[in-house]
Amino acid sequence: MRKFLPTRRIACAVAAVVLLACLAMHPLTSSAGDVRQPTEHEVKVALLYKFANFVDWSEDAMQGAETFRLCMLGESPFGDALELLEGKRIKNRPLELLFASSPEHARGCHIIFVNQKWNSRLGEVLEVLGSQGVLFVGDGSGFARRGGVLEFALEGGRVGFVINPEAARREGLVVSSKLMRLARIVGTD
Amino acid sequence: MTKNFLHYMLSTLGCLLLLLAGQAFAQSDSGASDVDLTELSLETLMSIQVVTASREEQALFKTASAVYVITSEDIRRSAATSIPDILRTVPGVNVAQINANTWAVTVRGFNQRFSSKLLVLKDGMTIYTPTFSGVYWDIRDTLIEDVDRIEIIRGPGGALWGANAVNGIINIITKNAADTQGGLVAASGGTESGSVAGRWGGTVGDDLAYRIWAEGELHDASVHDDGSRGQDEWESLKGGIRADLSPTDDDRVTFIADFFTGHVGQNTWIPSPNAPGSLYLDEYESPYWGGNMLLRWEHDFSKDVDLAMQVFFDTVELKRRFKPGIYGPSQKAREATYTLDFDSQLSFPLGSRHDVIVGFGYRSIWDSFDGDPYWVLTMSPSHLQRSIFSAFIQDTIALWEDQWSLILGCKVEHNDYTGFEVQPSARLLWTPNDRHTVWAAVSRAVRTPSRVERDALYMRQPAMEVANMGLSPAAAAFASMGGLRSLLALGTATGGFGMGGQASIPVVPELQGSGDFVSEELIALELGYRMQPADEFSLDVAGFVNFYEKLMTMEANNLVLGPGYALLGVKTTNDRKGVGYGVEVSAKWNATDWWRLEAAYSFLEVDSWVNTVGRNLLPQFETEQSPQHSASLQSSMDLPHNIELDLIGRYTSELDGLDIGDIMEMDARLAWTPYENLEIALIGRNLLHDHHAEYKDRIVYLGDSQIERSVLAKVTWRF
Repeated sequence: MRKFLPTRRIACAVAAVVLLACLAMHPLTSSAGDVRQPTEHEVKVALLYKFANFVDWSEDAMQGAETFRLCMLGESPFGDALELLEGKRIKNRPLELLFASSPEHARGCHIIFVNQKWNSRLGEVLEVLGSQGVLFVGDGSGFARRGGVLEFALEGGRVGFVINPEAARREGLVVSSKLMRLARIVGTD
Repeated sequence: MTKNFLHYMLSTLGCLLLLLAGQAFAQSDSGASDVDLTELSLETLMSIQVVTASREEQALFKTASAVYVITSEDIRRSAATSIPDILRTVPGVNVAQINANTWAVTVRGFNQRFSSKLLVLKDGMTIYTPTFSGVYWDIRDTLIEDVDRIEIIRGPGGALWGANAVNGIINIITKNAADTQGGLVAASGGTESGSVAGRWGGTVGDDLAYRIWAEGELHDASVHDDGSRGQDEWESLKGGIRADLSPTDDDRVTFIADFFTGHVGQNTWIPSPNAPGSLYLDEYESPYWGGNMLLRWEHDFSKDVDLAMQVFFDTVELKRRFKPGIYGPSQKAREATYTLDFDSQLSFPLGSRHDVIVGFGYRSIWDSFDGDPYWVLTMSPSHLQRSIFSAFIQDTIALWEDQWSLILGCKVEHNDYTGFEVQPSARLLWTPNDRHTVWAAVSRAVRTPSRVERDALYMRQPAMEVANMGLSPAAAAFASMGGLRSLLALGTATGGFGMGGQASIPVVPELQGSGDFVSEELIALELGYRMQPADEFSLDVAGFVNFYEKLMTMEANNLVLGPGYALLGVKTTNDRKGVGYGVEVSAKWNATDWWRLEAAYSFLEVDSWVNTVGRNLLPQFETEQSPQHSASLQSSMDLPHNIELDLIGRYTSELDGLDIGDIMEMDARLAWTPYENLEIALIGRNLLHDHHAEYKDRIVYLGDSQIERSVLAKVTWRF
């Protein structure tokens, strides 16, 4: 009683769409191409890199370090955006990107990005790694209040950040006044 | 035909090859031209408007239900001018326009003007009318530029959302006021409609953002199949304010107030008083007004402990004025509904493995139906207040290695019609990695009785002929009802009542509510799979089997002959069972960074049968009012010189129950942005036919309208 999909008509529609696309494609490949809008992840990765320029680590923390270590604690949410950091140098050292599955594996890191999973277990992370000169960066509200140093905060589609100066002091980090000025300041709960 | 097909396939293939070559070329090009973000200053980085969907998409990807989200960007590029039209390309959703101002929208079958098994929310407010459990889509439309996203959940959500979330939930979410700063003026004009809209958004201090907006619209009437014009033209004016306040880092307060008013024309078929057996087209006009206010407060006690509370008040008043006709001089009626709703929910972790959400709600509905005694709809009692209390709990349990989650939920509701209703659900989610998600669910949901089903003294259905209604079983039923035999004989004598389908005496069915009518029940089994083998491509498949019990049907109650027509009393009963099953597939492909393709296909089969044949009418009622197959293909292209081209093709198979053929249609949008803040768009809708019918309303018969091709120009200026 019911007819099945009229394959021919659908094929026509598909062909029409594809043909139009082909017609449209020709001029496009020869033009320069619009600049793509950066993703949230790319901006955050770039900020992770920039932060290092506005934070001073204690001599203890940097002593004997041949590389500057930026670590992802837990599965990294950033995906391909981390490619932005390829070949970069921080504090006159080559940037080394490390992926740690647990706090124990993240010893010796200068910046640690704490992923969602470990964010909810920040207490455990700080027990292992706290007060050792680490710039802890995390996502989501409350990370800084609970003892993280820097927290990304999305506001109206833009990436801002929150700083907990107490936590920075605990880590022996000196945060530049410029970074403080751009951030929202919170204390530890 | 085969030759043609081959020809198309070959040209398609050729184009694809060309395209892939182009893509490779474009990629090597764009890599070099991209700005190195790490070279930018902190201030610049902080000022970049980013694509933020990633987290939501991630969360969405790992949801244990069939969710589909339409973003504001999708809406902008959809060529749609109303909310129902935006929903047309969503898998599992069936949209049919009945006439210029009336739509039938449903999820997973049972499409009607007032599709009852669907919960529709706007910013957390229910916007379906409790009178029919359906939505006045014309009245409830909003400024589409303000819509942040529309979330469509197919399948039952009763465990979280409560009664009416049986076949699906449509949640319209408007933008935060912080995201609509500055000014916007949009004007459009075309063959079928015109509109002017304005919006201004600003801030007070650091913490408060607001917007104020208004939109006026005019819509042309549809045509009838005999070529005459309908009287269904309409106009509307709506506006509102929204304020978002964040007094502290942990508090968010939202206030929304909307107002809407308008004037809708409608036509309907009435038995002619002069020539027995014939129908004549009557018209009525329906002015309406309404508004709502919502206050929501969200507070984060800590990272994982969140509280949200909201209260809203909503009011809608519709008037209907008939032109003088068979039922006497100019008939008037008024239908007013007021809703006060309080809702709260608290989410918190319990141990390391449990995420719990608990919630409580209270809703109070008042309504009043006034009017002349022969008006189409009369209620007993004509004024009524009813309350709904509800509580729910949902626990998301992380199982083995965080790859498995079990989500258990239950909602208990108490309503004045049927007492306690319990709606549990269990969902299992497996996410072996970020690229694959498998989920399964079993849930129970109920659809509580609407006011009409319980309390309609009569809802006089502007007439239809016996043959059209397929009422032979009814006629047989009357034959078996001894007392009515003589009436039936009389009916037959005056023009052949019923039996052979050669009817000529119009029957005016009068739907009568029944105090015995209880909730419709559903047990649903669902299974879904999502995959994203590459960043550019994603696929979503969901299948379901729905077992319905106690579905609404109508039973012949009595028959009264009037001058030239017969009044057929029809009572609501729960005497029907049903089974629905189907599969929905959708795929998104970002073919290049300037071309996106999206395809959707849905298969649906719904069958229902009455428990006791005999007096029962319309055994096929509802089940053949949704297409068995629907498909859509969308193409969105960003062309050079700031030009966008969007093409949407869509197909629905025939509606056997309504004598509507299959429909292949196409919409297109061509937009040019000469300056950053100015957009000029040309929009064509229903381009393939002059006009076509999408639906015939058999419950409140509106005449058979046809939807016309339309062309529209739209200018949007932001400042």
